[in-house]
Amino acid sequence: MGDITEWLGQAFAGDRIAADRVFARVYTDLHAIAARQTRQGAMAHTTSLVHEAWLRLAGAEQLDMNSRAHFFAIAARAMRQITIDRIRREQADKRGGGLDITALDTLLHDAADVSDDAQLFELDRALAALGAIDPDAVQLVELRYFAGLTLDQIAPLLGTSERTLKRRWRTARAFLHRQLEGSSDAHT
Amino acid sequence: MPTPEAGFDARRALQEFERLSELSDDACTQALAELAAAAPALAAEVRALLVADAAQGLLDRGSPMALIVEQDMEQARVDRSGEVIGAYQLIARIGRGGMGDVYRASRDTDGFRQIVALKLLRRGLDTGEMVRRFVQERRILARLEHPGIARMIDGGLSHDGLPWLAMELIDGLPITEFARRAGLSLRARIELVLAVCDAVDYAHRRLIVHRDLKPSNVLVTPEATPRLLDFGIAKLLDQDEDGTLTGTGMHLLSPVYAAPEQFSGEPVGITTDVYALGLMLYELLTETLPQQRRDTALAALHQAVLSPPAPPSSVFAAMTDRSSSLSVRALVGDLDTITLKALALEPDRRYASAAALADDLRRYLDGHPIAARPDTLSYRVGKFVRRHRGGVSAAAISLIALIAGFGFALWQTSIARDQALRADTEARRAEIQATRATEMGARTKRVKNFLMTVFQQEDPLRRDRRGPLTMAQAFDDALNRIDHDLADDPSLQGDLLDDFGEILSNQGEFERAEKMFQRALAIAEKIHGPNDPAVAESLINLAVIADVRGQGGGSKALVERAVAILEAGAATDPEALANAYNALGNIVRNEGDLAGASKYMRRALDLYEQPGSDPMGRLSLLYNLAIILIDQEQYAEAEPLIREAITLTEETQGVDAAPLTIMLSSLEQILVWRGALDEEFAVGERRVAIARKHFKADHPWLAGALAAHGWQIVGKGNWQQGEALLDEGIAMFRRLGDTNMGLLGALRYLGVSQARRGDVALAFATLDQAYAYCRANTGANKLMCATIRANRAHVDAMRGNGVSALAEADLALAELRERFPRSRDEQAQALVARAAALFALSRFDEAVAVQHQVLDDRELVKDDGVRNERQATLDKYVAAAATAKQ
Repeated sequence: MGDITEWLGQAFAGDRIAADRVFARVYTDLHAIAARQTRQGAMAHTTSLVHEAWLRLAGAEQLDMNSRAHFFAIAARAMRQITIDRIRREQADKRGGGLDITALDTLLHDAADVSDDAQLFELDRALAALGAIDPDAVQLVELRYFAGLTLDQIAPLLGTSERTLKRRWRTARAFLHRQLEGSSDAHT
Repeated sequence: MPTPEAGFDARRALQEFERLSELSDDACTQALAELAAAAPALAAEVRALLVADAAQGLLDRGSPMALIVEQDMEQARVDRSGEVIGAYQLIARIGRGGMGDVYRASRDTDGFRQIVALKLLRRGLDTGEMVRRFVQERRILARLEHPGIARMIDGGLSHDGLPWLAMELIDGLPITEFARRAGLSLRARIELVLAVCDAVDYAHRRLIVHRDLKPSNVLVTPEATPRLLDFGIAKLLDQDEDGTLTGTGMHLLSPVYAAPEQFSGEPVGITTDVYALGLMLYELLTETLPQQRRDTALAALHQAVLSPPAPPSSVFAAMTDRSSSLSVRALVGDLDTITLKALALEPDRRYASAAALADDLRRYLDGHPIAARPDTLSYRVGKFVRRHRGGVSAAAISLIALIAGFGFALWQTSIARDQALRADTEARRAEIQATRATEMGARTKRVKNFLMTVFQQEDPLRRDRRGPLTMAQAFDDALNRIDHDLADDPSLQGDLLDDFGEILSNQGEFERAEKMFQRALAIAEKIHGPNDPAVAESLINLAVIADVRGQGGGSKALVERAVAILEAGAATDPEALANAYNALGNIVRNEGDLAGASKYMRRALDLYEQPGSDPMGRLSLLYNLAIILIDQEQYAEAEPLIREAITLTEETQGVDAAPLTIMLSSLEQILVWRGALDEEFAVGERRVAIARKHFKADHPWLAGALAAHGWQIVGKGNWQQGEALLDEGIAMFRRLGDTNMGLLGALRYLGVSQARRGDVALAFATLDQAYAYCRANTGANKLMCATIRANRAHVDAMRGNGVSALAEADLALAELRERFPRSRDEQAQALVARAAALFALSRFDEAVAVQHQVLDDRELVKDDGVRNERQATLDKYVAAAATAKQ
């Protein structure tokens, strides 16, 4: 159990297996929390999901700020990953199953699909592009959009002010939306 | 998608956007225009960004995660009957669990239909890492083939990425349900558990732990065969590989049946399954779960399981409606002990394996004494076999052992109350046994009453005057009472004296024990006459004590007398005779008659092989034979015997059982011979740890372990630490009044260590002291004494006393050659001493010759340190010889 800090560090450094572990742990917790929340009548708010998952994970351990930041970053990245994976699978299923996943990208790209699903897919690509320019911005988007954290929650994690984050979000958002538009533009 | 073209730099575009977006509308337009003039492509991009900034988009909507989680939960509820998973068609959903849903499924192959139970795992258990491990583990689990385990037939990933497993479909009821409906008797229930234990043990031998054993995972077919489900699946799916219940694990395991370590995140192992078996047994015996577990709130559960459960018998007694097939009386005593041992809070205190649990259950069914003791130490010295003829049951004796030696205040703790309760139940048991053996009836009653007065404290008024007693005081009290309360029943008196004496000797209190045995012998002779078998028991007790204390001269005669008496009645009581031969073997071994010892031991072992004999007896004989073989330097033959004895002890009494201290010491000897110094050191360390754990006060086994390990530490060059341990051991031996092997061996080690590091005066004093003991004690071990004589001579030579050293060395050598012709190592030591003496007398050439002789024997010393030392000495002699010639 005390491995979490280690895993977080490793995962953050790019170790996929460590990331998988942390993620796997987070993911099932999310389920449990969401299930409980639904039972209690509340909606599954993503923020509270992740926070609760964090609390569960940290448990009695005094995980430090660094670990916390790592945790959220990974949770957010993981959520992005799940989303994309899920879409891929769903789309593959819709198209009769057994399709080669890699071919799917082209399919979605070609189809004049402006559904959220397709958009999410494009978003993933746009984030990749953004990552080449400004990796921190990507993290911000993951934390805010995928993990559902608010800016004032993110600020202490990244060690910046809310104001700075506001500015950076604005820029990232513009870039990403531009990319999304750009892609649909290409087909009109 | 727009890519960075030669027209603009994306990064720059973002920077410009940031700058411009802060400006007012007018200023912004202005700036754009300026930018357009300088870099048109860039400006176009920035404008597009500004446009995007103003409009709504995907990122303004909520996180997709919430939706996904909802979807998943939805899907989890979906009944997928009718779908095709792998090669199987799902027919109907037959179960829903934390891991996923179970379906009845079918596959048509080669024209016939196979029906299976297909377990489809749910979302969240399908990450890359999990799937990888799933594939790996599945192959291992598929190899489990046992009639008690549901076979895993197939497995894979569904088209939508979920892991699935196809298992044998079992038609049956959960074990508890089955027992209830069939109205099974106690015996039948235990037999069910035995079958389950066998299956679990089979898997354990293949290093697969179940981790989630519970009644719903043990289905019993209509033919009353238990089949285990989901073996190892918990591990398969365990995201943290530690089987914990915190966080995610909660969804995989049933907290109600989980072991304490699964709550706290400590390592899970075979004993975790043992715990689950204990719970299953508990539930089968009482038809309910321990109180603590009926509260299902997880947090409360975690706390609650940290306190031990109430014994099944008490629970059962308290229940108002219960199945008529069980009864309180049947549960009392051994079944309580067995169940509670399996449910011990610490994994180490439980049965070490499912097989060990099964063995005790079988012993219970056959009416033999069980190996588990209600938290007592019961270990054996010399004699190894418990023999009670006073109508005192085995349980009662262990009870006495319990009250002796622990410093609890009887009144104040709940332990006292438990003991009182136990005493009551024990007494009732004794009564039950008594009604079966009518002529023993009256006697048993007396014993029972006697015992009750000791620890049940029937008369609180009387006790109050003296305040609360410690257990030890109560024991002393009992000893005194034997004289008074049982004065009119000398036969019982004698028997109890024997029994109490045994307890004392187990604690290392040899002096007191000897007195008891002497009195017991006197009484036995008086009542039964000098040639009655009853006398033999006392004789053996005395002989063993005398031998252990180094007064071997008299002990042989005692045992021979016992043997003579018992030979006459060999047919009726082979165990007693085996005991006598065992004791005799030990004694003559100490005299150096190894062949004779071997002969007696083998005779004893033969007697023990007979059906109905005590399995613990076999253990002791294995050990004794191993010792003899070691003494005869047949180390290779001894090793498997001693290892078997060790394993047997570990299995029946736990990995840190007290007898291991002496068994491991034999193993040490073998390892020394083999030159496996690292393992030897580890074994020595373990010995000390075990000994310290069990013996808080002085005890010869602890002293022995300390001395041995001290010597090992010295062997690594750490004089200070090593000699400190040796000192501790020696002091302890002295306090115990030991003047034989233990003390002598330790003194020898100390002396040699002191000599090696150069403190010759001190070394001589130490060895001189040891040798003094040798001469004073006719029963002292001859081989050890001869070796000490040689070592002493060596150190004497180092002090410069060539003449006396040479004489002594030669005498030692002669004795060794004559009595112990195969004691090469010891003879080498005598030779080295001789060489040193010759050197002291300036007879350098002779010294060189002798030293050479030792070194030439390649087989002799495997310890490089010793060899190098001797070589260095040889060099010194050679140099001296060369110088002398000039």
